[in-house]
Amino acid sequence: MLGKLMKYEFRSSMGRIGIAWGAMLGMAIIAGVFSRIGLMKIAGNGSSLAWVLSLLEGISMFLYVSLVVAAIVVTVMMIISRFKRGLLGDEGYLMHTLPVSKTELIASKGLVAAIILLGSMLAISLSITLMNSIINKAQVVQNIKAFFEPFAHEPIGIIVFIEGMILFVACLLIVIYKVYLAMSIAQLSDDHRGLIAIGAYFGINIAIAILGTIVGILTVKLSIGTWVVELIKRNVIYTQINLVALMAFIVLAIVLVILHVATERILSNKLNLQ
Amino acid sequence: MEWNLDDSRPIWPQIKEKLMKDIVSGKYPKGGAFPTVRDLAEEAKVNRNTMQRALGELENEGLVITNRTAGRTVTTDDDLLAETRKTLAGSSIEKFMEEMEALGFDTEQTIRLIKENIEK
Amino acid sequence: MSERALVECRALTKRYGRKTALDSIDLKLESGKIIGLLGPNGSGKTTLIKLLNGLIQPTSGEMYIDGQKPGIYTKGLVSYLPDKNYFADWMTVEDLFNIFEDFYSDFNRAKASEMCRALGVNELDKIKTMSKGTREKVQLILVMCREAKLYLLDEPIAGVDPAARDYILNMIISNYADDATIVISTHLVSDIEKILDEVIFIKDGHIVRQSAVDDIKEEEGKSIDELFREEFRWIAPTEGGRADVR
Repeated sequence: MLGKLMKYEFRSSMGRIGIAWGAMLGMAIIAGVFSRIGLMKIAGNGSSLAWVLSLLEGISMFLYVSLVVAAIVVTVMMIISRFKRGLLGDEGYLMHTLPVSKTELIASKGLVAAIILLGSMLAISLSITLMNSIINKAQVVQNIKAFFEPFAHEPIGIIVFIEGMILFVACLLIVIYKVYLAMSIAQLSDDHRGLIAIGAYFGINIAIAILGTIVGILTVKLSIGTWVVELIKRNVIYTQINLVALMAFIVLAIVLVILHVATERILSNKLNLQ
Repeated sequence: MEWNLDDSRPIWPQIKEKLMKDIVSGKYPKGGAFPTVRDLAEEAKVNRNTMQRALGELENEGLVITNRTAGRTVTTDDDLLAETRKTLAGSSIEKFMEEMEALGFDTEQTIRLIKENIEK
Repeated sequence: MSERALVECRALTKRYGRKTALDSIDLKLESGKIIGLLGPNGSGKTTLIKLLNGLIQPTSGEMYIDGQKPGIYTKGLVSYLPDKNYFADWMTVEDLFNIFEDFYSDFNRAKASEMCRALGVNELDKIKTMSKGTREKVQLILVMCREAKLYLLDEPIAGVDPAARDYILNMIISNYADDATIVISTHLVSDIEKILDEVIFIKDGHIVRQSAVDDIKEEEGKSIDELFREEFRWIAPTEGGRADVR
């Protein structure tokens, strides 16, 4: 059922966001072309052609940046509104009476939201890369090589890269789930849901920070550091990096689970559709 | 034919009466197929259970016979049909006589009125 | 005939803060009946329906549908028609049929398509381009083309023009499985009373009457509508107006 729910999530979301990505990429190319033309200095300095080209370059660049901002805004708005409308509004009458669990409902929205968020980030990176490639391909190739270089050492490099990606996605999910939980708390009330959601979001962040501090203190108090060094010595965990990644993942996973369960409990027992 | 059902009385006897009339008048010819509960309920715009109850009574009286394979059919029993026709006529007459009495006519006057009206 | 009632409620209570919407209800609903859930606004009808379809949880007491507490299993048995539209804008009728087919194993796609044809609804139309009346028809098609055990219809004919009402009632009585139960919550009693087996009168969170329709007609010699108006001293809604209780 989760797969089916995700399929419908994608179908409802992809239209709008796809347009945003497409427009942004398109404008990146156009801006890149005009910049490149500008660099090539076809027209003489001070000529009206040079002036027009310069204007076009400026406008296209401005439009490009606007479209990047637009893509970001659309992505954020979509994450919020898909959850709000789908599970807390009239569509909720359909969703919450389907024979699926609340966990599946929430997770389907969260996972698709994370994928779209990731997609937007990739799309923006791609647009920058595209634009820069048009302007100066060689430099771009060099930059890409430089970025991946640290990971190219030994097979461990790839593992670290993958671990990094996993942690990154976990962070995205946490950000999304914080928003979901805030909205779920807000729907407990009949009015002022927007304000309550914002307040709840800050509250959740504070709560996580406090929790993090407590865990940090406990780690020191219980001398987890020494214990961990022991594990490394006995070759239980391959290297320090993997260990750090593992611990980070455990922490993120716990936070994510807590956020998910809290959201699920609220929507199961205190659903307040209007 | 219109189903004129009165909501202030139980529906199923009214349905039963109408179906009986339909049978003796030949709308559902003797020995012929009788519609299903579903179809009748839809036509009369009533609940299936209500229709089922009325049909159950018709079955009990033998006007309608249920074959396991062929569904329901109307009886071929001429005597039964004649008797039913008479019973229905009887209740119509009874109602009529009650109305005439309410208007202030006794039996003799009523019969005279009937003759007068028919000869017109 | 199963011994166990399809729906059983024991001391079912729902409170919203200080307000008690349902007060310790005891109720049994049998299979194969069309039941009218009648009462004024705020009587607890909608609360009861939302408890039955799993949208809300009871404050206390128990509720069993086909022997199970409300959950994923019972949601698969229940076909619910809310009194509002629950579609997303972008969907077409076909999309909705796909969703129902995907999530409900008892959805009869062929019948749904046929009903669309009969009603002149184009499956490829987007919901947002449809008139209110057409949207309600689509929602009713979705609900009635499921071969569910319990249908919950919340005001299926309110806000529909009188001509369409007959059609909708017809659709209701001609499209359900024999052992299914249909619960119709409404205040338009005279329109639906012919199709009801049983009525439940609900007032201020209490069930004040649960009887078979025929019993009422035999004992009281009144139509359900008359009894209802007496019971609730009902003022009929004027054209397009809201119904009120004196």
